Amino acid sequence: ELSCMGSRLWKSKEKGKEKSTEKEAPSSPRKKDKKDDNFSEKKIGKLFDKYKDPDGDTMAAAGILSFIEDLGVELTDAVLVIIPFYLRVSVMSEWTRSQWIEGWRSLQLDTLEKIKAHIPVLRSELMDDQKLLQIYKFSFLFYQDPESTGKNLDLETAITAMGILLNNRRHVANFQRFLSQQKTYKVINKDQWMSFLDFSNTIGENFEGYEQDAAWPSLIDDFVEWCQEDRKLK
Amino acid sequence: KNSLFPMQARPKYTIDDIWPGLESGLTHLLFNLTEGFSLDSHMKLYTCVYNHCTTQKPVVRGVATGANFAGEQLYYRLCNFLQKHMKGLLNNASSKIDDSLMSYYKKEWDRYTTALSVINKIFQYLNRHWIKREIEEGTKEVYEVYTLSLVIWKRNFFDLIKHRLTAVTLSLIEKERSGDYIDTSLVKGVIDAYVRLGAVSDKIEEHMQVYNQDFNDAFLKASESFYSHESNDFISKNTVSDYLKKVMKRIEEEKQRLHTFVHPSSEFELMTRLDRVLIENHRDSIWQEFHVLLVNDKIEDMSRMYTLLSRIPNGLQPLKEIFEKHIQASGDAAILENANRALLDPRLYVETILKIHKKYSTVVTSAFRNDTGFVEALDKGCRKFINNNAVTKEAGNSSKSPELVAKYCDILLKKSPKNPDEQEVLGIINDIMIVFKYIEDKDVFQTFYSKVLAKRLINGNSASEFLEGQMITKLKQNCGFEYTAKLARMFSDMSFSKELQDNFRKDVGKDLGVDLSVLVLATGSWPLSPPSTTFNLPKQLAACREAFQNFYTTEYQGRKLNWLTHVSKGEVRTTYAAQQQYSFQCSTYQMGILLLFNENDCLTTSEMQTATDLVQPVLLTTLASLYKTKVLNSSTGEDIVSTTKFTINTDFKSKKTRVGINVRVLEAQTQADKETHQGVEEDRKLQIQAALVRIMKSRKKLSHANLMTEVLTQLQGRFKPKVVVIKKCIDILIEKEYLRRSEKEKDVYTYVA
Repeated sequence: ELSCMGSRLWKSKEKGKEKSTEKEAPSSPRKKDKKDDNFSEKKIGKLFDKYKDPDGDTMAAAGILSFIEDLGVELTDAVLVIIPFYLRVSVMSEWTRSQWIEGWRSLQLDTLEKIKAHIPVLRSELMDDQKLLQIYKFSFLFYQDPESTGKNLDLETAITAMGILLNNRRHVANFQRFLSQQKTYKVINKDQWMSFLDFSNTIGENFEGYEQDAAWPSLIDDFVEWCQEDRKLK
Repeated sequence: KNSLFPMQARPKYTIDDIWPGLESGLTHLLFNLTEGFSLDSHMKLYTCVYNHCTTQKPVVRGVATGANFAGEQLYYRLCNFLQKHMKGLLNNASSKIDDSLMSYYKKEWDRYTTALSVINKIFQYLNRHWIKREIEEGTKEVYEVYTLSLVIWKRNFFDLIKHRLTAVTLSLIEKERSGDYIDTSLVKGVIDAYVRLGAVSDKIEEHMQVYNQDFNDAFLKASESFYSHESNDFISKNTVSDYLKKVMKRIEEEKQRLHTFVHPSSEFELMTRLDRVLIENHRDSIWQEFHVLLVNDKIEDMSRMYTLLSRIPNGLQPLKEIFEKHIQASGDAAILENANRALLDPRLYVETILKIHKKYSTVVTSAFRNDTGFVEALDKGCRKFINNNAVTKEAGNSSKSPELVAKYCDILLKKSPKNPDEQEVLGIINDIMIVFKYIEDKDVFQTFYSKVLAKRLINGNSASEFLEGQMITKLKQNCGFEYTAKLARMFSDMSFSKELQDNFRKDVGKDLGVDLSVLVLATGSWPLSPPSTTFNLPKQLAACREAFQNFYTTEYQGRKLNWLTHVSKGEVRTTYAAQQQYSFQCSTYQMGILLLFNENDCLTTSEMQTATDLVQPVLLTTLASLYKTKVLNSSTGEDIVSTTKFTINTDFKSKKTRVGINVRVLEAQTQADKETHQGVEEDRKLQIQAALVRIMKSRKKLSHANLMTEVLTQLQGRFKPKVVVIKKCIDILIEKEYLRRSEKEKDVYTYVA
C-alpha cells in the first residue's frame, strides 16, 4: 500500500493485524517520569487524533505518512527509524495510542512544533556510541518484512539501512559495495549485522586490529579478503 | 756419637742437657733414616722429651711461671733446627732446573715426611701437654709437631720455590700432552706433595688449598691455553671429522692423566674447560658440518659429533633441527623422484616412505643412541613429508596420502599370486602402521579402507582371515574402538550372512534352479549406496529375489531389504560358441542384457533400454563393457547410440573356459575417489559441528581462542580441521541458535540451551 518513492524501507500492510510475537519491539518496563509538568497527555493525544485511522483507535499507514509529511523530512531520513525506536513500534503500518503517548512522553514532546524542533537532536544521537548501538540493534528487526521470520535481513535493505545509520563511518562504503558484488550470501543474520558495527568501530582503516583467526563471522573474513583483492586491483 | 746420655748420678733434664742428644737423633732421622732407627733409640728420645717436660719448671718468655707444663724452649729449639734444615734445602734447590728440581723436591719431601711421623711420635708428650695447652689458650703460631714441621717446610722452602716448581711441573705435563714420554711418577709425587702440604691448616675445608692455589689454578689455565691453541690450529688444517676424532682422543687422554698423576678433584673443572675450549668454541664449525655428514650417511662421525656435543649446553639443538629438515627434504625428494608413478601405485608410494623412515630410524639408533630429541625430530620430519609431498601436491589434496596407504593395504590383503606369505605380509602391515601413525587425515584412511574392505568382502577376495583380523586389531590399538567399530561390524555381517545362506539353501533355495547367494549387510556399517538406476530383473532372478525376500522377512519382520544390483554379479553359461561351453563371470546388469538374447537375435540400444529399464549412462557403460570384451558385436563399433544394433558374438574365443567380463572403467574409479574425498569433507563439517556443540554444552561459556583449541584437540585423532572451516561451522551454529556471541565480550560464545 505504502509504496514510497525511492525507498524500499517500508513494507507495510494495512490488513493483517497478525504479527509474529518475535517481531515485537524489545519490551522493558518504561520509566514513568514523575515530573510530567512539561508534557501534556491531552495535547499529544490530540495530535494522535489528527492522524488516527477513522475506523479505530490506531494510526494506520496513511496517517503515519501524513505525520511524516508534516514533519517535513525525507523518507530516507534517519529520524524515521529513530522515532519508531522511541515509540517502540515495529511496523510503519499500525501505531497504537498507548505507544504514541508513552513514546513521546519518554522524549517529553507533546506538540508537532516541539517534535519538529527536536529532530536535529534525534539525528545527532547517531553520533553517540551507546545510543547508536541500541538504534542499530533495533533497526535489524525494524527493517524486516513483517511477514518474515525475523532472522534475516535481505541484502538490499541492509545496504540501504547501513547507509542511513552508519553514514561516513569506517568501512561502510566498502561493505555496501562488497555486499552487492558478492554471491555467497543472500541475506544477513543478526550476528553478522551486529558484528559489522563492532568491526566498523574497532578495526582500523588498514585493518589494524583484525585477525583472521579471531572470532569474526565468515562474512567479515570474506569482506576483508575482498577489500584486499580490491585494493590490489586499484 | 752413639751414646746419647752421659752417665750421671743425678740426671738433669734442662734444655741444654737434652738438646744435643735430641739434635743428633733428629739429624739422623732426617738424613740417615734408611740406615734404620731402632726401637730403643726411639724410646730414648721419647724419654728425653718426657723427662724434660715433666721435671723443668715452665718458662714463659724466659720467665719462670707457676704454670704446669714446660716445653717452650724445647719447642723453639725444634723450630730453629727445622728452619736450618730448610735453608739447606733451599740452597741446594736454587741451582736446580727442570726435572732435576722436581726430583730433588720429591726426594727431599719424601724423606722429610717419613722422618716427620717418627719425630712427631717422639715429641708426643710435648704435643699432648704444652702444645695442646698453648693452642687452647689461643697462642698463635704454636702447632703440633707434625703440623709445625709442615708449616716450616712451607714457609721456608716451598713458598720460596713454588712458582718455579709449578712451572716446571706444568711444562712436563705439556711435554707429555705433546706426545713425549715423561716420568709420570715424578709428576704424581710432586703433585701429591702439594696436596699433602694442605695439612698445614687444621680446617678440613682448607686442606686442598695449597694444591688449588699453587698448582691447580695454573694447571687449569695452562691446560685451557694449550688446548685452545691446539684446537684452533688443528681445525684450520683438518676436516671436522678428523677434528672430532682428535677431540675424542684428547678427552680420553686427559681422563687418563687425571687418574695417573693429576688429583681427581681437578676433574670437573678441567673437563668443563676442555669442553668449552675444544667443543663449545668450535661449535659453529661442528654444526655446519652436520648436514654434510647426514647427506653422506657418515654414521660413525655423527655418533662422535653426538657424543661430543652432548657435553655442552644446548649443543644438540641445532642438530635436531637440521635432522628434522633433512628428513623432510629427503622424503620429499624421494617421493618427487617417483611422483608420477607413485600417484597411481600405492605400493611404490608406501615403500618409498618406509625406505626413508627406516634409513633415518637406523641413524637415530646407531648415531644418536635413541635420544628422545632425535626420535622427536624423526617423527616431526616424517609427519611433514608424509602428509605434504609431491604426490599430494599433484593430487591437490593432502588426503591423497591416507588414500594411497589404504589402497596399499587392499593390495596386500587381496588374494593374489604375487603376494608373499602370511608372515611376510604381517611384517609389512606392521611397517604400514608406522606410516599410519604419521598420517594426519586418519578419517580419510578409514573411509577408503572401509570401501576397499567392503569390495574384498563382497567379492570374496580376502587373502587371509587372520591378516584381516590383525589389521583391524592394529587399527584399534592405534585409534580406539570407535574407529574400527564399523569395520568389525562388516566382518560380523559376513559370518551372519553365511549362516543365513545355509539356512536359505536348506529351506527354499534348492528349488530355485539358480545357485543363489545373498549377503545381508547392515546399512549403516557399509559404505554402499543404493543403485543409481532402476532395473528389470530377468525373471529367473526375480523369482530368486522374491523367494529370499519371503524367507528373510518371515524371520525378521519389520526389516527392509534394499537390493544392491549395481554391485551384484553372477555367472552365465553359454552354449553357442563352437569349440567351448564358455561361462562368463559378469555383473548383474550385464546378465540382464545377455539373457535378453535368449529370445532375440538382434537388439538395439533403445530396445534393451525398454527391456531392462536401465538408465542411459548405466546402460551405455554396460554395453561398452560387453562390446570391449567381445561378447557382443556392435553395428556402430565403439560409439554406441540408441540405434546401434547388437548381436551375440558367436565367434567368441578365449583360452580360459571361465571368462571374467566384468571390467571396470578407470574413469569411474577416479570419479568415485573424488566423490569419496568430497564425502569426507561433508562428514568433517558435521564432525566439527558436533564437537562444537559438545564442547559448548559442557563449558556453557568459552572464548573463541579456547574453543578453537578444544575443537582441534578433540578431533586430532581423526583429522586436522582448518580454522576457516571451523569458523564457518560456528556461523552455522549461531544461525541455528545453538550458540550465541556474548554481547559484552565480542569473542566469547555462550551455549543456548
